[in-house]
Amino acid sequence: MITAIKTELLKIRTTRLLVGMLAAAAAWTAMVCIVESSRSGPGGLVPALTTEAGLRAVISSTGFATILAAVFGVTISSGEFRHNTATDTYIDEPNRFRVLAAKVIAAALVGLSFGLVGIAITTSVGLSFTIGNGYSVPFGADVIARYAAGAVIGAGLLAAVGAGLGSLIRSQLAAIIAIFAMAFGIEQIVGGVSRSVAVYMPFVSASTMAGGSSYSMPPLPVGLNPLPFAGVAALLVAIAWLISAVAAHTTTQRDIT
Amino acid sequence: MAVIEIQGLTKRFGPVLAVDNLSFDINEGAVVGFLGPNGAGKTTTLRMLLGLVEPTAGTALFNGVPYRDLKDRAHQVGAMLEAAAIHPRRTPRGHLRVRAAAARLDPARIDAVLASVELTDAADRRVGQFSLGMRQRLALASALLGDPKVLLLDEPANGLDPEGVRWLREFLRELARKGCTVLVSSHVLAEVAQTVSDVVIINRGNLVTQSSLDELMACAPQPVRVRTPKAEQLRVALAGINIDARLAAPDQLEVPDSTPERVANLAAKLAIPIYECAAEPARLEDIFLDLVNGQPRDEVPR
Repeated sequence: MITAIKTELLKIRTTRLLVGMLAAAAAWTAMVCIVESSRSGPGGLVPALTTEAGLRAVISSTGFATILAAVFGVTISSGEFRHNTATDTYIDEPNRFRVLAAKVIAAALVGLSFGLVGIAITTSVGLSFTIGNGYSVPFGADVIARYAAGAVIGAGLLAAVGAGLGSLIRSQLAAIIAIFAMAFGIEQIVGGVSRSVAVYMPFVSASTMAGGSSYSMPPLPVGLNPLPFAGVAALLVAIAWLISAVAAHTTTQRDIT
Repeated sequence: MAVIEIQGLTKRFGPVLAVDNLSFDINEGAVVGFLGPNGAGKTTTLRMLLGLVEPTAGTALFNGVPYRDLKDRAHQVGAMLEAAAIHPRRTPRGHLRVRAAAARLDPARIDAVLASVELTDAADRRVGQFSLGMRQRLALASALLGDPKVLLLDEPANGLDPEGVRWLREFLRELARKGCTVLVSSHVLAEVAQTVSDVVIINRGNLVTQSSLDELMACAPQPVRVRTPKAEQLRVALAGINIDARLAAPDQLEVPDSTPERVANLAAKLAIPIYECAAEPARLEDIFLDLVNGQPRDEVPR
């Protein structure tokens, strides 16, 4: 298994996709939190940065990096079918369950970097605007550390979910559309209909881990009562496991033609 | 000793029977052409051998075990199935690093196989910039990475220019000299005829024949071609001894089922001048086409 994971990590290192996607995640996140920070305060996009709600909204706006982590997870597995490299992959390692497990684990490990990039940018921008304006930071380093841990772990777990989804759907385009449809469509609709169900949605739950609120980007439903940190992590692990288990079942059944 | 054993192999894709109860063996050290027209079931057979496609029935084994159960697979079997199936953003070196890592092979082999397919100079260029011929070479390099005892090559000459085909021919000869067992598929017999020692011909998923190339050649018709200014007179004379000759041109006769000696002797008796009289070399492509078009020759081993 270690060999299979190392191979998947090497595959990632031998193309520039990761660098490109991290750059996209960084740019997108930076743009969002700079806009939020510069338009904070009464009548703005987020409450004033002097308030806990305001600074929290900026720091927890790691959602787009998290979504791109999931997209990256999709590309790790569906890319094999897009470029027909699955043939070589399964010639080298005929145990398809092992290949999928290695992809999910590799995606989770690399996915952490999306959360890291996201939280590094949101925290830097949020604190720069707050301190730069002479305000005091409304919460301590422990809170920031908790949000950071949530952003990083959430991104890793969603990348794992993406890897399972990419293997299940196989069509890279369809899988990426499914990710965006889930994050920006289905979860928003579910959030509008039922807050109690919304907390179990993957992107909403990952966002709550990172301290997300109704002011964060993408916003969470107002009045959401988030699950505990460990509960969200367990939920995302379960979703990744479930999708991967279904993908593993279908992958072993399908012919590689 | 058979290193590849295919027994009763069958694959059905929905209503399509791609491979139908196919059986043949490949002995150690043989270089075998796996031939058949497009859609004959060659690629499906190779994919079943490698565990990529699950057979509907039958077995496909290497040294008595399925590919997935082979120990030290990369040293046992190398395969080239899809030349175009290489990530376009990777370099050849990157691609081979991945393959070597997956098979736990010594990365030092990478430079050796790149040199063997003459891709050293292009080792750090993106594969997306490669011609099909270069991709074929890289795919071959991948297959050779583990220095395998058995090589499976699926249509390796596809898309190659004449220079590339010549290079491939030399490459396969070199592998044969080293004692490697090679199963190379093609839909053009002439492409592999100068390289292989044996052939397995399939059509519509069925075995048409398995024989040595010499046996196949021996059973091929070799009509006698005669050039004479009195072609019609000679044709009538041949008909008189129950030999059906055909006028190929006003001064040319094609005489099946005879020998140059017999035709020349008859012409000498009748004082018919002969400018040219020789048996035509067997045309492998004709034999191949006759076989796959359902005109089996009785003499061909089946």
